[in-house]
Amino acid sequence: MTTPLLDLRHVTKRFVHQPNIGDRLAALFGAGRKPAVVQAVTDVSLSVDRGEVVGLVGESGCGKSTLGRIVAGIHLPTAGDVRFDGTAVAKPAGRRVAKLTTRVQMIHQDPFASLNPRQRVGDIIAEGPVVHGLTRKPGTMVADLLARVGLDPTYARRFPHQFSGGQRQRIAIARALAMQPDLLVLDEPVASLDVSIQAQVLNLFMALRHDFHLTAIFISHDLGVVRHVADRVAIMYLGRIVETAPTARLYAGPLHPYTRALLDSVARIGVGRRSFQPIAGELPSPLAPPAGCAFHPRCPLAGPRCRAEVPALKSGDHSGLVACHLLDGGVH
Amino acid sequence: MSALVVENLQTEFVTRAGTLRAVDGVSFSVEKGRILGLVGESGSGKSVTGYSILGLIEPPGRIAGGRVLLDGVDLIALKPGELRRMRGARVAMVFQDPMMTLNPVLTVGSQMAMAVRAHDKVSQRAALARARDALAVVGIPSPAERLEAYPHQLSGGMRQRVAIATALLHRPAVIIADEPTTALDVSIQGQILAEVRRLADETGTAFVWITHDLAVISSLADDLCVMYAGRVVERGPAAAVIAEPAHPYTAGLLASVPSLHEPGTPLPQIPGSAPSLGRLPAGCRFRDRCTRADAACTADPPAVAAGFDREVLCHHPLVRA
Ligand SMILES: Nc1ncnc2c1ncn2[C@@H]1O[C@H](COP(=O)(O)OP(=O)(O)OP(=O)(O)O)[C@@H](O)[C@H]1O
Ligand SMILES: Nc1ncnc2c1ncn2[C@@H]1O[C@H](COP(=O)(O)OP(=O)(O)OP(=O)(O)O)[C@@H](O)[C@H]1O
Ligand code: SF4
Ligand code: SF4
Ligand SMILES: [Mg+2]
Ligand SMILES: [Mg+2]
Repeated sequence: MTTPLLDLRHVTKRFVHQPNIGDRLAALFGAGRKPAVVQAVTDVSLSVDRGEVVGLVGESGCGKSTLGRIVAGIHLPTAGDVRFDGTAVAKPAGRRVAKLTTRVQMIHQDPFASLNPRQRVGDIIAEGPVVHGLTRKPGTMVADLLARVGLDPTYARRFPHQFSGGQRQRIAIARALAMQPDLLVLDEPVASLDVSIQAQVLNLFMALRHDFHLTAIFISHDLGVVRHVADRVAIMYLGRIVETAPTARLYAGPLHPYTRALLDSVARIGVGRRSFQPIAGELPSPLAPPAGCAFHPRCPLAGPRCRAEVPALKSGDHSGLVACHLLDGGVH
Repeated sequence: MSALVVENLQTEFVTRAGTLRAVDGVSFSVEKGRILGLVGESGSGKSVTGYSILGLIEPPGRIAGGRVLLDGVDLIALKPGELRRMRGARVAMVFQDPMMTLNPVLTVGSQMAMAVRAHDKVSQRAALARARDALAVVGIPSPAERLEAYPHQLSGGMRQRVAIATALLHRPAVIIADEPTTALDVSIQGQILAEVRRLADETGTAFVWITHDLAVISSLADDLCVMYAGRVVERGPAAAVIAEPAHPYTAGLLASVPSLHEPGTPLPQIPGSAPSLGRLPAGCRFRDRCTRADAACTADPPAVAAGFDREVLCHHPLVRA
């Protein structure tokens, strides 16, 4: 068996939540509270093979960006380890290997915030490779990359504010590619773009994927987008991966009740006016995750075991993994 | 019967770059109990249309022409005091950010009661009872307890429900909702869309639902208006427009939705990006990006019938009546 390019093992990330003004005021008046701990990512194991695109899907606050940042080396995990190409690169207590930051590049959701407004586009793209000695001819490299992402090479002299959202996202992609990464983490790369521009950026990603043999983690809350670009999908709920399977299999026959409900509740085009089958209940707070299966307060199939015991990820018959007691001995 | 009729609405902003007409001749109507989807990309003029209907355009903006008829009364011709009496009572707005409506330092109950008593002379107790009933209508569990809560103690989805409940307090004929679920998660969005559909059906309230999300609108709306660069380029029953778009822009938008294509295949894309208001091409505003454009398109496109209750603004529509 070949070694996966990325291998996350039992990765957990906790944040000590900064109290907001209300909490601080409450503390002043004696209603002292312990600093809250957010368990943003809990016991996540996930591997990504060379050339594979894995979609990471889940609702707001479920830990997608945190997991992406751990992979990109921006956050260190609180527990568990990250192996890149067979070597452990991030251990909770150990030190990160500096090289990792150039091998993994992250593209952020907001193309307006992620580019330095005072830098020319050419410098934005060339900065990383020049600092890391990856290029001798930054001018040529910048021109090639701009052409490759569908922008006029003369744009290198312009500033980010002179570009539209879709063009800025292309610049961010060019900047990431300039580092010749082995792995790209794309965090909601099209979420802030208009529909007609989304298609342009998705097409660009699919073309580059083949030309550069990219391996990628594609984070999105849009199930339609992920279905289009990912080979495999991982569904997150409140910090954990609850199901993962090859894309076509997951969409054709989701096994986890949350995945099923999610697919049922999305608005879809071309099916006409319909009665929604929304998932009941609120998203639980990551500050106070429900015991047992975190989905149990909203799950129509929950039983007593779900309230007591966290379900483990087990093989499902869709060549993937699923964490639900129903498929592993029952809910009683 | 039409709850709201918008006729040839024109709204402009005076800027250093000149006078920009953000809404340029928009017309549509919404029937009682129906939901009209107003879709279009960023900057196409959806929000400005919504604000114009409610008379919320402030200088340097102004309504330069048109009529907004509610119960046969032209809102644009009303005096500010008369318009204030209509707003909240006969027509209300829900914003993307519910905190635009909610006051962070008041409990849900006290602000909703204030909203009730702004138009109706009733006791505080009766006002609170109405607030509680409105919360129940939008599907908020234990509404009596929620009256005591402050907005920051509620989730984003709950806050948006409170904003919708507040809009419903006076049973307005029309609610204008500007991207009300865009910031919410899919599971919560699904809950709210289901409630809104039920409200329209059961209370007869007409909705103008502003969004850039075609999937949301195709699941929710009865009728559709597609905006591009300040104009409505296509209008008609939602199902018909989505099944067989008549305007090349609508067709391009729909074609680019990933879920309609085999995974991994290139998506049909509309080249270029929307023009800025200061640099609109003469004639059809879409012509720089349109594959059907020809010499005729340098002249303003005509409004052409495209089927039952359908209209399209184009020299070469894909569908004709
Ligand atoms: N630096 C941080 N400090 C404290 N808490 C954090 C930090 N980063 C993330 N969190 C918390 O961790 C949880 C997961 O956040 P994360 O941003 O990973 O979610 P997400 O799935 O990317 O959500 P979204 O879809 O909204 O982007 C949230 O509760 C968030 O508030
Ligand atoms: N106060 C203002 N002054 C000048 N121009 C304005 C003002 N408000 C809006 N505009 C312009 O009017 C046009 C339409 O804006 P509007 O907010 O209606 O777009 P929208 O369709 O709601 O877009 P979005 O999807 O981004 O909300 C834009 O070009 C915008 O820049
Ligand atoms: S473990 Fe229980 S609560 Fe969790 S998804 Fe399965 S059935 Fe539902
Ligand atoms: S008028 Fe011409 S340019 Fe405009 S949409 Fe129709 S065919 Fe295209
Ligand atoms: Mg995120
Ligand atoms: Mg808007």
